Amino acid sequence: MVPLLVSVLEAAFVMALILAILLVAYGLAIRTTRTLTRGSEEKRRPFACGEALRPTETGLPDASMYWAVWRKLFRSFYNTIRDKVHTGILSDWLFWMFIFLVILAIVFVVVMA
Amino acid sequence: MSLPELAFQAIIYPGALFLSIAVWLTQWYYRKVCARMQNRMGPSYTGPFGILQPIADYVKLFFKEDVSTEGSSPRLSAALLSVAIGSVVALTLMLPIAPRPIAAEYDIMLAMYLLVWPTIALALVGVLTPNPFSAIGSSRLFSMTLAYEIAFVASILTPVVLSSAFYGAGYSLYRSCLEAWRLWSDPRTFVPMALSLISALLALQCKLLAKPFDIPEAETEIVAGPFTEYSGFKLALILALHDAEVVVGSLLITMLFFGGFVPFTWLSWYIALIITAIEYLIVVTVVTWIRAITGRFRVDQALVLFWKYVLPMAAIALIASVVISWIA
Repeated sequence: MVPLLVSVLEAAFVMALILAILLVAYGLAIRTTRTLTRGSEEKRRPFACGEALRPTETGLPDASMYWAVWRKLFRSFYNTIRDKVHTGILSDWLFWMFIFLVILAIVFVVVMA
Repeated sequence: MSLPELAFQAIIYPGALFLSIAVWLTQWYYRKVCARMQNRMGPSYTGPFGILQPIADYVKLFFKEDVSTEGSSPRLSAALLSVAIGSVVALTLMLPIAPRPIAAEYDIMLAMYLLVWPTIALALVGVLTPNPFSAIGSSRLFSMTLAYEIAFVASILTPVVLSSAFYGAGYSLYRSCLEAWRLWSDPRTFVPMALSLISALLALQCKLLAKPFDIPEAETEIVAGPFTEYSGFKLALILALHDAEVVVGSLLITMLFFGGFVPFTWLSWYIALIITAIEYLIVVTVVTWIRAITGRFRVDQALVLFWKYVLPMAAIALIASVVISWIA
C-alpha cells in the first residue's frame, strides 16, 4: 500500500475537483436564475414567521443555545452535587477540598511516573 | 494512481456520476418505502411508479431563484457544502467498490476526518444566515454531534481494530472491508461486532437526521432549522449532501460489517453484485423503517439515549476489541 500522506493528497485532490465542479455549477445556476426571476428586498429579509426582524436582531445569546442543552441534561447531577457539597457547614467544605486535593495528588503522581 | 485515473474515478465511477445515480434510486426507494409504511402513496406521478420524482425535484431547485438573506454569506455556504460533498465522494473512493481505491495503512484516520465534514458543513450553513430558527437548529446539531459522532466513529473503529489484529488489515478502511466479514464466524469477535453494528446503525440514523433524531430541522418547531433561509441551488446542494450521506453511510456499513460482494467472489460477478445491492437495501430499509415508525425525540432525550446507551455500547465494543486484539 502507498504511504498515508499520498492517500491524504489523493483525497484532497478529489475534494478540490468536486469543489471546482460544483462552484462552476453554482455560478451557472445563479446566471440562469437571474434572467428568470426578479429580485426584491422583501425576499432578502430574514424569515421569522411574518414578524418584522432585522438581521442584527436575529442573534440568540450563547447561554440559550450551545450550553442550554447540556445544562438541562446534567441538571439532576448539578442539583445532587449542590445539595451534597454546598451544605453551609465548614467541615463539609474542608472534607470535599481534602478529597479534591487527594485526587489531584494521585493524578500528579501518575502523570509524573 | 495517476491524476487522470483519480479524476476519472472522482467524476465517473464510483464518484460523482455513480453517486448521483445511487442517490436518485435510493431517495426514490426510501421515500416510496416510508410512504407505504405510513399508508401513503409516495412519489407516483413523475415517471413509472414516480421513479423520476427525485430528478424532477433537483431540476426544479436548479432553476429556482437563489435568494440570499441580508447579512448572510452565500458564497461561503456554497463552498462549504461543495467541500462536504467532495469529502463524501472521496470516502466512496476508499471503499472496495472503487477499481483503484484510495488506501494506505492507518487511513481510517482519513476516513474519520472525511466522515465529520458533512456534519460540520450542515451545522455551519445554519450559522452563516441571520435567522433565529437557523441558529437554534445549528445549536441542536452541534449538541447532538458531540453524542452521535463519537458513537459512530467508535462503532466503525471496532471492525477495523479486529480485522487489523486478526487478518493484518493495517488499520486501512479498504483492507478492513475486505476482511471484517470473517469476524462474524469467530466466537471471540462476534459480540463486539454485533454491539458495534447496532450502535453504528443508531448513530447513522442520527447522522442522517432521520426520525426520531430529526431534531435540528424539526419543521413543526423551528421551520427547517439550519436550512430555513436556503433556496434554489444551495438548497439542492444541502439535499444532495444529505442524500449522498445516506448512500455512503449505508454503503460503509454494508461493506465494513457484511463485506458486500467480497464473501461471494467465488460466484459470478453479477450475482455478487445483486447480493451487495440486497445487503445495501436491507441497511437502507432498516433506516427507513425506524424513520417511518417513530416520532421525534426532544434534544435532551436523544442525548440521554446516546450518552447512556449507544455510546457505552460502542465504547464497550471498542474496548473489548482492543483487549481481544492484545490477547490474540
